[in-house]
Amino acid sequence: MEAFKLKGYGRIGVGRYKLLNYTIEITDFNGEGIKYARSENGSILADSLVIGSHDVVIVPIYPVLVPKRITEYVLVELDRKVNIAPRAETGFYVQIPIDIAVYAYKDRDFTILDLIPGYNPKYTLYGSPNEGIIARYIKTSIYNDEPKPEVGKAISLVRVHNKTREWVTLTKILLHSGNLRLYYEEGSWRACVQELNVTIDSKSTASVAYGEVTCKGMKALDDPPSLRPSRIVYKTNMLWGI
Amino acid sequence: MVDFGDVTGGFSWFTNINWLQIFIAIVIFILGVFIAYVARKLFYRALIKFVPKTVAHNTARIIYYALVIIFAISALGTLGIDLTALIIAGGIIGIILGFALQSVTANLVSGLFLYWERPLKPGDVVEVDGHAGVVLDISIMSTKIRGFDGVLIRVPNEKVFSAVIKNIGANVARRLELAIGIAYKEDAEKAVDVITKVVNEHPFVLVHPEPEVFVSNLGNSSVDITVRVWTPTSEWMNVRKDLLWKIKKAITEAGIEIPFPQSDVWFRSPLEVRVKSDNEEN
Repeated sequence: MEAFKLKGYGRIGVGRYKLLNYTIEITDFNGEGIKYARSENGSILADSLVIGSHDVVIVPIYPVLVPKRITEYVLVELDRKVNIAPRAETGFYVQIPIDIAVYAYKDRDFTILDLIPGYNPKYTLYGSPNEGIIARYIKTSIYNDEPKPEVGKAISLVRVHNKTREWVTLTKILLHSGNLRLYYEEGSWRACVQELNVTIDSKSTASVAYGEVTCKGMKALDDPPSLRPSRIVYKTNMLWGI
Repeated sequence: MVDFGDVTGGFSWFTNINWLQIFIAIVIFILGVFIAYVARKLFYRALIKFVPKTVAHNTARIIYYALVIIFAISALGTLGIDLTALIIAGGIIGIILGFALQSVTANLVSGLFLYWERPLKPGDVVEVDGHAGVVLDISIMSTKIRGFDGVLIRVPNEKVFSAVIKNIGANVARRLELAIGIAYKEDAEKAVDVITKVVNEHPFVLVHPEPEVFVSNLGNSSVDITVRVWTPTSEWMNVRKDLLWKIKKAITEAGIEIPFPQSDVWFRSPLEVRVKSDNEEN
C-alpha cells in the first residue's frame, strides 16, 4: 500500500503514512480496534493494539519525553546575538523544539500510543557540570513575523525587556516544559506556545515569564497526566548566562 | 526483766538517715532524667535535618543515657557515697572497651562525619576503595554498594572516610574520551570529518561544552584520533557504547582502515631466501 505523506496534526484513519523518516501503519483489528505500527527502514520501532477505539490523533508534544526523559528544560539558542540598549524592549518570534505524539481517544479520554522524536533531538548543558542543568536544545533564527510551520518546531513570540542601565547581549532563552502550553492547528504543522516575556536583570541573568496565549484559533493540547502543568506558573530563572 | 526503756534502739539507722540529702539526690536524679529527655528530643530534632532518622535516633539515645548516668553519679555523690572506686572501675572498663571497640568506634565516628560531609548519598554511582557501583545505603557503621555486576559490597565507614571517593554521578554532565587509531596511509582529515559527523548526530552528545575531535598522537602503528564529548551523566555508559560502535561503522563505511599493531623487523645481515622448485623437493 502506498504511504501517504502526513500534512499536519489531527485525526488519521486506517492507512499508511509517511512522517519524517518514519512510516506509520494503521490497520483494522477484527473490527474491535486498530493495530498501530511505526517503522524506519523496515525495522519496527513502535507497535501496539488499540481495542475499543478507532480514534487516532497526531499531536505535538513537549520536547522532554523522547529519546529519553532526562530533563524538564529547553534551551533556545539564538542564531545571532541580540544587543539590547539600556531600558530598551523588543519582540520577535523564535522556534521551539517539539516532538510528536500519537494519541488514541475514546470520547474525551486518551492514551499515548507513540512518541516520535521531532527535529534532530539534541541536548546541551546550561551552566557548569556541577551546578548547571541539562536542557533540550535548539538553535533558532529570529523572525519578525510568524515563520512557516515546520514538523518538530513550534513558534513563540518573545518579548525582551532590558531592565538594566547598560547594554546587554541576549544569546539564549531557558524554558521549563512544565510552564509551557502547546497549541496546534489541525491539518497543518502549525504549533505554538504562549508568549515568553524575558526580563533581563543584569548582564548575565534574566527571568522568563510565561505570558498570554497569542495563538488564536488553535486547539490546546490535551496534556498527558505526567506533563500536566501546575496551575501556578512560575518564572524560569537564567542564572548562568544569557 | 526485759528492759523496754529503749524500744527504738534497733531502728537507730532509721534516725541517722539524712532525709534531706536523699531528697536532694532524688531531685537531682529526676531533674537529670527530665533534662536528658529534653536534650534527647532537641538533639533528635536538630540531627534529623542532617542525618538519616536511624542515626538521629541512636545519637539522641546515646546522649540521653550519657546524661542520665552523669546525673545518677551526681545524685549518689550528694548522698556521700564514695564514687572513687566506681570511677576507677569505670575508667578501666572504658580503656578495655576503648581498645576492644576501637574499629567500631572509628566506624561510628566516620559514619557521623560521612553524614555531615555527604561526599556520597544513596543512588550515587561511585568508586570507593576500588569498588565501583551504586550506593544503596549509608548506615552508622558501613556503606553498602551494589557493584555493577550485582554483587553487594559492604565497606566499613572508616575505610570510606579515609579512601579516595570518585563520585561519578554527582554532576549533571560528564566527559567521555575515546581514542581511535587509523592507518598512516589514510586521510586523517577525512577521518576527523567522518567522526565529527557521527558525534554531532548523536542526541546525547551535548552541544555545549562543544565536542572535540583531533589528532592526538602519532603512534607506532596508527595515527591516533581523540574524541572528547560531554554527555548527561545518566547516559554516559550508553553513549560510550553507542558512539564507539557508530564511529567504527562510519569509519569502515568510509573505507578508512583501523590498523592492528605492526612491527617492521630489520635484519643486520642480508637474508638469503631459497626457493625450492618442485623437482628439487622430489
